[in-house]
Amino acid sequence: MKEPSSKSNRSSAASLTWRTIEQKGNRKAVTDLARKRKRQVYLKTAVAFLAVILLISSLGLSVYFFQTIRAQFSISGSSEPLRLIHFETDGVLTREWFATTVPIARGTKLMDLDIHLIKEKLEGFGQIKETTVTRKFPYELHISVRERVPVLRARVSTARGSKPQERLISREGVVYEGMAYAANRLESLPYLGGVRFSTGPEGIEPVENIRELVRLLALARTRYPEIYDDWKIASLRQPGSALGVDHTLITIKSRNVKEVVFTPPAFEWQLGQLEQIIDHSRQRGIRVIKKVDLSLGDQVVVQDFPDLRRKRFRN
Amino acid sequence: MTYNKVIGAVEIGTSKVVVLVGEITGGRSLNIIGMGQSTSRGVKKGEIVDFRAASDCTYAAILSAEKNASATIEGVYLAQSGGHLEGFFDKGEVSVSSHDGLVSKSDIDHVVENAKRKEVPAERVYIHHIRNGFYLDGRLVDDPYQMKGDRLEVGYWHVHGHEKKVADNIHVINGFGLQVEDMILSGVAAGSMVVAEAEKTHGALLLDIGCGTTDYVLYRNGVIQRTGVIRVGGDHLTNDLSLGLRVNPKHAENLKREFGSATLELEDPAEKVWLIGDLTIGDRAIPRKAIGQILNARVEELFKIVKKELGSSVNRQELPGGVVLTGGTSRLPYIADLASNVFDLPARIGENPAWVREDLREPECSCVLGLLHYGLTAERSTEEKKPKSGILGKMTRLFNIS
Repeated sequence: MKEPSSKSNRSSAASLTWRTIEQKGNRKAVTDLARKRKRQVYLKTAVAFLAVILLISSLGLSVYFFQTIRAQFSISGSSEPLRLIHFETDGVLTREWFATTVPIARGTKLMDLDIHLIKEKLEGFGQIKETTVTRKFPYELHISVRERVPVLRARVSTARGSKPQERLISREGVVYEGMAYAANRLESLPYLGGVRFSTGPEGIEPVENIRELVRLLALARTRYPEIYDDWKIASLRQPGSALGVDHTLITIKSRNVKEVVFTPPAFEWQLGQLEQIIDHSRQRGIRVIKKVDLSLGDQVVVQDFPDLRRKRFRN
Repeated sequence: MTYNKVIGAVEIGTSKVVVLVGEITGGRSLNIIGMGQSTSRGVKKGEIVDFRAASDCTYAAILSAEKNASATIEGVYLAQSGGHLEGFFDKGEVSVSSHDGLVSKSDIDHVVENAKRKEVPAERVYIHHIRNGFYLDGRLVDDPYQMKGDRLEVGYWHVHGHEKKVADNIHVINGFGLQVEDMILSGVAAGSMVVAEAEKTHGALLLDIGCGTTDYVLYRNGVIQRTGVIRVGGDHLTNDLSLGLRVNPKHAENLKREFGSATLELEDPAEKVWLIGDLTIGDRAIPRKAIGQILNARVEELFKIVKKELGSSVNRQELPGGVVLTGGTSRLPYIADLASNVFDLPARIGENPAWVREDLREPECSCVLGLLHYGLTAERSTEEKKPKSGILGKMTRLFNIS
């Protein structure tokens, strides 16, 4: 065997050993078996990595919740009696209404208030869609309310044989008792007719399938306000529903046109036709039209009262 | 708390790849839990000549072993052989530094460092530095710490190999997503299993005759004095038979296994055997003695090469423990007798320890068993070095949990 170098040839640097050869864990696999094995290893690594991430996340969340709860406990010591209530809404309800509806005793400490109960109580009113109740330490309570917007009125008997009472219907079909609305705002809303209201455990059940009617009313109110102001009762019918045919008819009763029949979806065209018919009738001195049926596609059926033709158009 | 680690012992040989899977429990005990083998391809004389082919058969053996063990190997102890391996002896020496002449830890560190500082050529890397023993003023001592003397020396047998060939072996294992934790010479690994401690102390020679190479390890005073690799193995015997008897290597291998012998003295000198044995065209009866003559000549030549390499150190005074043969070719009948004749020493076939399963007691398994033994030793020393501090460590000590 050869001897590598003489003693005089010694270097101060340490000689290389096999351990200095780089061992690459990510060395390219040259065979199918190695590739398969590497895929398995990567998969296991990924699963282990995810498990660690999950563990760390759950630990982090636990610490966060623990600290939050601890913070609440520590804050409760510095809680003062409630001094100020901020009430904000996107509708018509007022701070006074809140004070009357949810009375809070004077001197109640902020931490003693059950904000969940307040939220629940407020959202029990049909007019309120969503409520956020926030404590603002040391002595303020913030209440933020989103209200429902009424689009129709209805006369509803809340109990069998009871006298019908006036209720409002929101865009979503929710029936509720309106509070703090200006009278003229409510007077302009048409009534909903032809609907049988049912009562459930949480009060009157919402009206179903009024999305198209709400769209028609919104379109008429914004684009044809003169026509809309004349509308008194709107009703909804689905004559083909028993046969499985999706065909909705909306009937509007108004003062100058006793009955107008719409059908979705071409409300804009139908309202334009109605406007033309009313204008034309006015020019001819016809005051009241008996019926305009706009539900027959491009055909429009107009019925009038012959004996009223000569009477002067009132509007 | 017990710590379990699954290690693999891998020997990428010329004829086959053998993998053993062992589970080390608490760094103290070893259970052999699986074994895998595959026919080797892409390896010649213990060196990789076709990386892809060698990788393929190594992975097949590893997968088979893992499946057999129902466990995944975490680290590999790899056998290293091949003609590129070389060795040399070198000594480091220092004067004892303290004024009272007692050897300190720093003296020992310096002499060890001094002995390992010799540079090898750029393309070569060290595989092992095998300590031969400390000499304090010329007398052999096991541990010179706190002994009185003036001059401390330490001898090392340094084994080095061709960097790229060593790297090829490592990269085969890396390509399977595993790391080589340690690399051990095939002969050294096999010797740890088949050579008894008493033989090592008195002096013995191990010959691990594989398919492509023969590894030898010379023991004296309980330590390895010298190692080497001869580029002759069982394949040469087959090849000689193939050429000498005009038969293809497959049939020659069968003849070697079935009728081969290292002696010329047969019970029936006139006995004839069929060359192929299935009466096909070309099949003919040949004297069994011819097979013996061919094998005897080649094995004798192999032993003489080893004897020549070792020179004057091979004699009854230096090696009373004699010659221990292992490896697949050691199965050749009468090979121990031939070794005894050539070396003029007692010779025996090495036997793996009785505590291993019966199917692992074959001489071919000595190397991988030795690798596992080294794995256990390495893990044990790692465990012992681990500081047991902190509450957990104190509790472990208190309750004597390991």
